[in-house]
Amino acid sequence: MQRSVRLKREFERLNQNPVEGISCYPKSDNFENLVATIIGPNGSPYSGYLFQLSIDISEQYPFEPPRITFQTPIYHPNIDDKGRICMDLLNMPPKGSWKPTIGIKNLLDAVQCLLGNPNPDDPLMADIAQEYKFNRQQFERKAKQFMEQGKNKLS
Amino acid sequence: MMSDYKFMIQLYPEMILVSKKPVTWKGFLEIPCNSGRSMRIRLKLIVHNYPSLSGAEIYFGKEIAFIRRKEFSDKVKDLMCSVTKVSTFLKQLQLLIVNLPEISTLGPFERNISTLDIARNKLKLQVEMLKKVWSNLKQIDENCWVIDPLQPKPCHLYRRIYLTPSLSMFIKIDPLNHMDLPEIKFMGSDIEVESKTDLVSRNLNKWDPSCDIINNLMTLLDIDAFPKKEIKKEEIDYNVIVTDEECCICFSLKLDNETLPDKICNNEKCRRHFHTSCLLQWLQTIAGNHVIFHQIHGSCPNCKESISCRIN
Repeated sequence: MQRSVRLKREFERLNQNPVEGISCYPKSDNFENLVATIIGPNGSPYSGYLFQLSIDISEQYPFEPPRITFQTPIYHPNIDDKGRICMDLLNMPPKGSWKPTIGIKNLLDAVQCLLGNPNPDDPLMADIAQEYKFNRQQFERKAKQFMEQGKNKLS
Repeated sequence: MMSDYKFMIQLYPEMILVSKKPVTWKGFLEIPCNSGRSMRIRLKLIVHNYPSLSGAEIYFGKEIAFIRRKEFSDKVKDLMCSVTKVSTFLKQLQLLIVNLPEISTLGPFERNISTLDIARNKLKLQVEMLKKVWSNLKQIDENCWVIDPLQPKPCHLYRRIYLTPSLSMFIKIDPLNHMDLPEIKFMGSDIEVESKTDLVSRNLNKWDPSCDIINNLMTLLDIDAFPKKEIKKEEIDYNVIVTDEECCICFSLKLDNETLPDKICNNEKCRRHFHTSCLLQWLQTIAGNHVIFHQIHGSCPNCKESISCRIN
């Protein structure tokens, strides 16, 4: 009950007041799976690339956070090769900091922000985190190279 | 004519067309009662300007003579002007009558009734009682900012009154003792609820059954006037996902179509509203909250200020 009313409101607002560089739409009527795309933020090695994400919203939402994974491969300290994201907001307390007052829009904002500001102190990919911390230039070159292999460049 | 007749046969088989000139229906109308059973009232409807219902005459049987109050007859007149079909009119009429509240100690309307006379006396008694309650409620509606029910109906014997941005007072009047102290409950932030509950308990002995309800309530609360309703622009701000009055967990005002948010965060910079059941579900979902007696203690999902919630 709460879930469907709330999700309806969230999509209404997303449609009426779209966020720059972020789009999100449901795959089915019951809002179980969503597809989102975000544009890599300016000033980051991901700038100019498009990333597709898949969002699973459980029956317990908003008392449980949605599960967000990257569908587009990415070279990033906090995102692994299966697309899983290591972000505080996506986990239940006490380990994480999910709270029901956060909406899907806020989460996508946070993911976009994570692309521009990786968090090497809480890494999922230890090697990339080390590289990001101690050899920033090499990290940025590798991240760009990695993206160029894909086909997600904005024309 | 024929189509209306068909509908009538289907929906109101107990209403019979007794004359075509003028068009006259006579029979019984069934009124569903809250207890699940229903009562039947005698009804005669003369529609002079058929198919228009304006100027139609309506006669009720003795059993609901009590609702021949002005307010009720005005509503019936409004109905006649706005409705064009006899069956629709009867449907609306059923709703009008059903809006009468039930007095629990007297039991549902139809219980222990063997003759129409008893029914009539019983209903008359109930309405005499309710009249006084309604006049009390009317005073509240005129003097206070009522936030719940959003559109008070005669069957609502309770009111929730706005006091401060983080506090409201819930009052339920007992129809049997309408001048006595009503049931009072405070809703809002824990701190304010506690301090006002203390204040009211100290002032309880000042309640004077010969005084009107507004003055009594003001004495209880130690105030000179109730806050007046602020007129706000009804614009939807698309930048915010929840308004100040809405629950910031389910992102809506009414839960299950009736309950309004009744918990407010203690932190005056936060002041988020919650439905008790939404907040409870969240506090029970996350580990590390303490349950003391029937109260669960945790933190506000928005600002982490401590907040507690009753477990029903």
